[in-house]
Amino acid sequence: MNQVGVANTDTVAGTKNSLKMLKLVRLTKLFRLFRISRLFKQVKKVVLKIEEIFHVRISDGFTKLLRLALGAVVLGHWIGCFNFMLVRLNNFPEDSWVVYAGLVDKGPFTQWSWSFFKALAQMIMIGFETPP
Amino acid sequence: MADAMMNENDIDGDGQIDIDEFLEMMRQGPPGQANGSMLSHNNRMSQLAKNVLLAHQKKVENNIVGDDMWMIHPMSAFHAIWDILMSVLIFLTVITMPFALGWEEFNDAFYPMTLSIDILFLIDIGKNFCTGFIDYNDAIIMDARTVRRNYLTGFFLTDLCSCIPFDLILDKVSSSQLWYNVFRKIQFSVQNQLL
Repeated sequence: MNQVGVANTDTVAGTKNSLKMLKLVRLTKLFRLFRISRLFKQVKKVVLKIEEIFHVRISDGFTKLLRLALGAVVLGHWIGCFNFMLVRLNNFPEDSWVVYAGLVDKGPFTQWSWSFFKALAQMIMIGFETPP
Repeated sequence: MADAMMNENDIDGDGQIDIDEFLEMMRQGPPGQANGSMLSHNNRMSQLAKNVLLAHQKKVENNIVGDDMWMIHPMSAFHAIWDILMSVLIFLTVITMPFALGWEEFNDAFYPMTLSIDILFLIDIGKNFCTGFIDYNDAIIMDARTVRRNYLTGFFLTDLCSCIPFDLILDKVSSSQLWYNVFRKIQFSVQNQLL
């Protein structure tokens, strides 16, 4: 009898979780990022204009560096947000990094900045200890 | 200086530097002062490269295929401004969307912005159907049929997938409790069979 009850609550929780997971279909919006090449075409035109007006030469590497830096920051933002989202979808388990760092009751900005920091630390491979 | 050089070296006077004129120009060496320093020579070379680029651009602008003049020119200012606006909106989406996934309480705050960006991107799909493009031969294609086929085989599916607000549709569907019940029934039956 007890076992049936446990199974019941588990099922309900599982259903709710999968309904929460359905929000992940919003990830299709990230397909938009494929169109960002349009921006860099326009940036190239603007750089050409600046070169023409001020009689300077701007290296092509400048645009490439800009693109790389932007990509790294955006990727860090995503990884941080996904780290936090995974913990939140599991209802903040006791042994997660959010609980270890004491961030459960903090404001969203504090939580976000710690997530971002953790993601950047992981991206340069120094951030695997807990608390972050 | 660019104009002066253009006049000086443009032998047949068509506003472009052809390959013959280019060779003649290189044979002459630096004009005016014969003792041109390295710096001015470099400057001249950069001017030269720029002129070649300008001539190329002019050639591209003169090379239009198709006569559907209601279409938007891919080098017009409107197209440039629209592209930059769309890129800003892409950045907004890409930054706020994971934020709204991680912190549920921002969903309501971002709701109007997300919806309006989606509508703007639907308009963008419509605009893409009537914007010419530059093909691999550097010709500007303004023929409506070719543009349509090019867009449909290119980015159309990506754009459409990113425009449909799947989460709103699923919210509407799941709030009617239908899916919730179906889910529960399936899971119950699976568990009963396992037990």
